[in-house]
Amino acid sequence: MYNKYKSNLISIIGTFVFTALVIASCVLLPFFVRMYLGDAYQEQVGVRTALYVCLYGCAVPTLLISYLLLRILFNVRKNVVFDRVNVKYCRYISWCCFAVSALFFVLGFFITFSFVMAFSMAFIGLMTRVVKNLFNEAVDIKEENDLTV
Amino acid sequence: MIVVNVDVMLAKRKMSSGELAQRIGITQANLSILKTNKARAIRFSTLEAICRELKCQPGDILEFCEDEDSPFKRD
Repeated sequence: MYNKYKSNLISIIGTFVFTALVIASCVLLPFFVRMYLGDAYQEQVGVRTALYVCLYGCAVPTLLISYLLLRILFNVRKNVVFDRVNVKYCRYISWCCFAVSALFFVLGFFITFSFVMAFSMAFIGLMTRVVKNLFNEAVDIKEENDLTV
Repeated sequence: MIVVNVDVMLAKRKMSSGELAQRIGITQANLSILKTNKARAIRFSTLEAICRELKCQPGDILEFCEDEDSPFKRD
C-alpha cells in the first residue's frame, strides 16, 4: 500500500527516468532536428543552429534540476526536511526553470510554438518560487519551535 | 536582549545541569540551548519548573540587557 517511503522511492525513480530521457534526447538530438527540418535541413542554417544551441543549452539547467531534485529527495530520506538547504535548492530549481524558459523564448523567434514552452516553463519556475517562499516560512517556524525550550 | 543566567543559579544551588534537566523533564540539549542564550522562547511550564527546582524567581534567571544585537529584532 501507499506509504511515504515508497512515494519517495517512486519520485527518485521518476527523476532517474527523466534524467535518462534528457540524456537520450541529447544523444538523439541531431536525428530529431534532421527529422523535424526534413529536406530543409541543409538550407535552414539559422533555424538549425538555433535548435541546436537552445536545446543543448536547455539540457544543462534540466540536468541541474534533476540533480537538485535528487538532492532534495535524498535529504527527505535522511529526514532533513525543513532545512535552509532545501530552500536553497528550490530557489536554484526555479532559476533553472527561468533559464530554460529564456532559451525557449529565444527559440520562439525561429519556431513560434516555442513561446508556448517558454510560457509554461516560466510558469513552472513561478510555482517553484511560491513553493520556495512557503518552505522558507516553514523553516522559520520550525526553527522557532526548535529553539523554544 | 534577554540573558539567561541559569548557570549562575545552578552554581548557587550546587546543582549540575544534568540533574536540573532531569528534574524539570527537558533534554540536556534543550537546557544547553537555554544556557547558551540560543533559545528564542521559553514556555511558562519550563520557567515554572526551573524556578521550582532552583527555588528562585524568574527575575533571578532572566535578565534584560540593553544591547543592539538582539536576536528578536524583526527586520
